[in-house]
Amino acid sequence: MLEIKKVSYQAQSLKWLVRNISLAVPAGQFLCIVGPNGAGKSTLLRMISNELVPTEGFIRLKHRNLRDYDPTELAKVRAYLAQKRDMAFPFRALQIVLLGRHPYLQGRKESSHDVLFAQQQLQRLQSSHLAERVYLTLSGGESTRVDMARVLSQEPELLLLDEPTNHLDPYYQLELLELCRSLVNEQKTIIAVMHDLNLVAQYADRVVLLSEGRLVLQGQPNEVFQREPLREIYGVDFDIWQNSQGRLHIMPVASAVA
Amino acid sequence: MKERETSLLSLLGLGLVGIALISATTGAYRIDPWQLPQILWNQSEGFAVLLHIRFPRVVMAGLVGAVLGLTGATLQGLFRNPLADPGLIGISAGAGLGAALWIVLGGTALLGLWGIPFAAFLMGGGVTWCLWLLAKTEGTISTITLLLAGIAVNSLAGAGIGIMTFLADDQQLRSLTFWLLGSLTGGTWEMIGIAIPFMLVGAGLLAQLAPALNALSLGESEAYHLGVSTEIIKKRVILGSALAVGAAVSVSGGIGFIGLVVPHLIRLMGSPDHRLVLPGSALGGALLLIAADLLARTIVSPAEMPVGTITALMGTPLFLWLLWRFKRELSHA
Repeated sequence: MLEIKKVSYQAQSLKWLVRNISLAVPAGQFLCIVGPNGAGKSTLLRMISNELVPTEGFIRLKHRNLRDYDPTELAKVRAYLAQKRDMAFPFRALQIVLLGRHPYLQGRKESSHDVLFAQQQLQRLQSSHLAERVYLTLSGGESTRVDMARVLSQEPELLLLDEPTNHLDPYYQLELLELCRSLVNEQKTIIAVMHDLNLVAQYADRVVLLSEGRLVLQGQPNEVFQREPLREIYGVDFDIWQNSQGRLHIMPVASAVA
Repeated sequence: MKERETSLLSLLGLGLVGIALISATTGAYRIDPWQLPQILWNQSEGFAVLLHIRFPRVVMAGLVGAVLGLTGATLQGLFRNPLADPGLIGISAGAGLGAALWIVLGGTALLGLWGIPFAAFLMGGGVTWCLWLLAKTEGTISTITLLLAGIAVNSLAGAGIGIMTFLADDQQLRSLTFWLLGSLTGGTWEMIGIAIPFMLVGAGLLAQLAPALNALSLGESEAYHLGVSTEIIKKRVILGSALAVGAAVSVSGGIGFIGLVVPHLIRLMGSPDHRLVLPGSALGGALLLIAADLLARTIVSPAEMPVGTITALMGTPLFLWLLWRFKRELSHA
């Protein structure tokens, strides 16, 4: 599905934000990128979305170089849920979801099929009741769900999510990640930047741990989430244990901070 | 488009025809509106007044109003800022300075009146481009920078026009005063003929952008993720609005407020969908400016008020009322 080859990114300040990362992601995988603040997670994600062009290396999506896609073509294959979102005008939530149909419309007005499709995506996020609300008045969690419905309206094969659980309460966090799981079962590929290691351990197929722009560790959650590497990279001690159902619990411990 | 939005557009269209007829038949020489077809057909008494004075003026007001409404709506969409009015952020002033430079530095002698919209377009486009570069910080447009840059451009253009006034001879001065006030008194078929190609090309560049502007309202990078080629859109908006505003300014001077208020009114009465806001603002702008011009030339007749004053007087209370209504709706939502 996705092939990342020796990719580096240098910012305008000449600082290297991502260095020499190679990664292959097969279709139907839920991959989580974790790491401390400023590790280059979002930069990597924005390169995968083709919003940023790698300074070195290349990225191939479905065996084609990302640079060979035109924006509309790409928008039908991958979608992106941004971390910070802001809206300039008082659109209703359903209108926002319908914007996800943009790559398919080519200037024509949306059909009843498009509207129905958008409504179904809202329903999938248990947010049908928000359809006629003004987007600007929604809470952080509500707007995340509306934006996620917009992302699904693009019918993407590859979903790039930048901290999707950020504003959600525990119920909707699980709800969103369950949705991710079922999307993955439909052979969609998901790459998410996450901070909550417990949720990652519970839902991800594979974890990539970044630090200072480099890929430090990758593997299944129980392979990556070990005390030593986590302590080294985050600079905090972690208590890690498995409960009786085999579920991993990862708890940062305050003592090391002081 | 929803039913409500379609009916809003038809309503605006009907209102536009109505106000155009009223305006064409009202003035120092009164004409019975019901006699209009007869006068036109028979070329009887009043025909000359209609053909050479009233019609060009109404057409000019309509065109200028439509251009101001449309560019206001498009610029607000691009800058993602409801305060991006061509007058407020200095595009009209820049275009005015372009026109003034052209007149005083002798361009008119060189190419006649045809060069004026072109000079206005160049300066207006330059200003828009600079504003874009100035106001953009890390992918978002800063309102404060945008407005401050607008103030700076406005006063710089004002100073430039001041210098031109100082250098101008008597006849040039008369032409210049016209830009300073913003008025439709110069409405002749000749001026319309000069301005209309610029306006049409400009409007043509803007007309197709509605879906992309909708996506852009989520932000530049979100729009890209939705498949919008943001760089192309940006260039089209800047080029198109500079052409159209340049032409409008070169025939009528800087008339403010239409570009600011009309898109708001359309958004509040209909929806923020640019597929409604762009055509709605063009129709609404034409309607409002024809009405304002009608008032400007009748209420203190035989003298004439500057039409910009009227647009502000008419627009402000309406705008405030709608804003208040919308605020209430937000708090109940």
